Amino acid sequence: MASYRQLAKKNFSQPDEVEFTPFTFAAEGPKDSENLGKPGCGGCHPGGGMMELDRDGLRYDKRLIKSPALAESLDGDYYKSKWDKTGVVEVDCFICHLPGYDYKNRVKQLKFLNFKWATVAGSGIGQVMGFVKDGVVPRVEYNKRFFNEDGRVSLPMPRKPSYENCMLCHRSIDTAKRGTTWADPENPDVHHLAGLTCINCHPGGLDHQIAKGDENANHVRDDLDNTMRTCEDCHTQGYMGATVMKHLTIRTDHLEWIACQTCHIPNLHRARIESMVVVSGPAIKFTETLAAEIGARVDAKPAYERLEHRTREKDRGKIYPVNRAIPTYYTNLDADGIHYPLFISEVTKALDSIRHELKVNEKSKIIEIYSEKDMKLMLLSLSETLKGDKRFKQVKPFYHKGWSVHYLDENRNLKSKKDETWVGASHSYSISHNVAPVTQALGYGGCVDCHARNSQIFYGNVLTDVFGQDGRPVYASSGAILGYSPLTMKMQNLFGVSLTIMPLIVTMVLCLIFCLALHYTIVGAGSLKFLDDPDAIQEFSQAERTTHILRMATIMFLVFTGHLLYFSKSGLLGVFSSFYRQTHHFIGIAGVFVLVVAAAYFYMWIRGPRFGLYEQKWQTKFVDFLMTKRAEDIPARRRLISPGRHKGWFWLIVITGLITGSTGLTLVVKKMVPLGLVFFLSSLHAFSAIIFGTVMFIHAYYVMVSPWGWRLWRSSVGGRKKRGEAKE
Amino acid sequence: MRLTLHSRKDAMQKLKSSVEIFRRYGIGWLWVAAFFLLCFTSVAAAGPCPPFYLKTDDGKIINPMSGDNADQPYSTRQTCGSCHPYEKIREGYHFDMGWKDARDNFIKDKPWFLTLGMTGGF
Repeated sequence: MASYRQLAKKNFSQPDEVEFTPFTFAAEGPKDSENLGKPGCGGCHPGGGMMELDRDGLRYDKRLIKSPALAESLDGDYYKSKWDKTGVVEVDCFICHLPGYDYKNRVKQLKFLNFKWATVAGSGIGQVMGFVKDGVVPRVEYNKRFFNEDGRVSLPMPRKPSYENCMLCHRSIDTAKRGTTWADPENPDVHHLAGLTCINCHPGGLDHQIAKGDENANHVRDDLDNTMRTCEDCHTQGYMGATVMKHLTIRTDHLEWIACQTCHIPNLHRARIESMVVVSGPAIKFTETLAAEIGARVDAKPAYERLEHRTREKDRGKIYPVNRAIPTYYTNLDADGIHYPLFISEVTKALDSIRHELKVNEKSKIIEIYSEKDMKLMLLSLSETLKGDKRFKQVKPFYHKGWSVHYLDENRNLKSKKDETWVGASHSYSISHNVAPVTQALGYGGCVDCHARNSQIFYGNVLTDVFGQDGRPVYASSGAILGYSPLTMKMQNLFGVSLTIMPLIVTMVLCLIFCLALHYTIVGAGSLKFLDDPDAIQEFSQAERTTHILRMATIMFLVFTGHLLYFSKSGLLGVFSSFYRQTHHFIGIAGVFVLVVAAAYFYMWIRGPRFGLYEQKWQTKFVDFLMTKRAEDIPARRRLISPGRHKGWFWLIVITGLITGSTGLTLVVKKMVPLGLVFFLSSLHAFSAIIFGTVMFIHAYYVMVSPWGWRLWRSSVGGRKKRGEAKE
Repeated sequence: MRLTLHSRKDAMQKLKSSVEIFRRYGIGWLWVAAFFLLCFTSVAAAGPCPPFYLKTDDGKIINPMSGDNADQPYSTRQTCGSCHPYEKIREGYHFDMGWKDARDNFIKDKPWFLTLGMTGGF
């Protein structure tokens, strides 16, 4: 997808089949004085190829001089051409290799059919007088200050082109397609600011096959894709002083499905083409800022897509920043079942016959066709216009708009359906420049840069229809474009909320720890008298005590590493971040296994924690104490650790442990789980783990440092408790 | 200073040694020098172009100082192609844009595509 024009075939049978030819390609572009310097096709195509040779590999001018009848034939290379007078456009070496090249003058010469004189005017070596368009043979007046006495020209032509020369063509076209370009003050790229130039990353050799990346929308010479220096080439080796990437605060698995550009190009500051609109005659390059022109300063952000057709396998399916130039134009469904795009001349002709019945948008200055009445009117007019068109065997016009297609049925009633033709496929341009400083990259501010409720990558507005039912542009969320369901988006929202409030919860837990530590400081340590007591009886076996210690150590490790991973602070662990992630998974699986085995083996744990009448009596007393503050029925130590309380803690641990364990086990294999469920489980896992960890900490506090804890410590570590306590 | 017999013999010996060294290694050194000279000239040739003649489409020299063909446009194929491989350069994808492979019905289900180059299409 590159243009809204169609090149004539080499051999065609009807003049109706011709929209433009290589000859008109070279001279394409507006010719009014205001836009004379704006390039058509030939301006940026630097000669050679279709501007020099026909499809038989012969020079147009020499062949047409020998066979003038070709200009009257149905040969797409020569149809109505004047190659014999204009000459051909040879490879213009000076566009790239001559600083100060006068690009606008070249464009002007091409538009006025001075093909072989264009390089003379562009280089500035000479002035060109007269235009072939006016029926004269142009004359050259060379500027003698460039010439030595012997007649040799002396020019400062560097072997390596400067970026200024590249930008002669790439500035306008890249801005239009992508909303950014190189050396753009509104879109400062850190590499440009660091002094790099185009050929540092896109080197070329004598064969002039300039190293290229992997543009999504264009596929010329895909065999040369990824011959340029990639981000990894420099940022893993430190080439030319490049910063060696660490991504310590980014989850490592994110790097597997998100391209570098996605995070490092967060903004676009130029209005770009968001839709090629061919609905009212000439193609309109629609941009969301209709009041401004393409390239105007705007505050915009990229859209995002998973690009499946990457040349390198490892890049396929990754999320990339793109500009989606959505299609808004007409096709005709011919008898062979193919939707043929209509020529602009055909659309204009159909429109002219009904123009008086349509309204012009005051803001956009174009006729916007979106109401059912106007769509039907235009489709009927196209049907009439195409009736005599010999390039079709069947006339059935379709209007493609907003990924829907509108057409007339047999009874001439307007019908609409989802666009499943080739027009409905993605037309997205890759965005690879305007790399921001690292402090502006997504993820530098933490996970919330993307997972917050207002993040661009999930909730940004992406244009889906230039004219909705009310004539206004229609937008969808970026997440919807990425294929996420409404449920997934809601779960992502929940995940974003959890990320936002989790620091608050952690702060509260830290405050709790502080308060407990303060309590310990004031009250003092409990007795650690767990010496063997002849009066004690066995409560916990050796196996129970050992697994208890293992469980506690496991939980402590999981809480520690889980906290680091959840808040993407794995960077604190440096090169061990990946190790800790894997270890968290492994220990988590092992921990769940130990819990299950322990629960199954020590059935007493199932029987013991049931609330009996005894515990219920004390809990009733305690609740009564809380409500009435009458303390006579409840001793002071029972207010904090009454019978049944520890069973309550136990069940809380069991429940939160089960939730944390089961969600954690699922998240270990999250690649097999729908994304929405992953978001939900991540949030649930974090919440339950926080509760789980907090309860475990309180449990440990009671046992280890509370004034009454020595008894528990004695039984859990020594396995024995006093006969009296057991009786009680 | 008058040379003694001993010193003359010594000098002759040194001269013979030098001749012998050159005879033995000189040709090799010449090859090495030639190699470096070639490298130097190659690098020099890769720098900015030295002064050159502009040439017309049929290869005639344009000399504005003498007036020869001074009203004719130059041809890059003739001018730049005198030193550089124009035909090879023309195959660079910026110039060719897939034109070498262009043909009718290039893509069967999109017959209006004649090439993958950005030379028209939807």
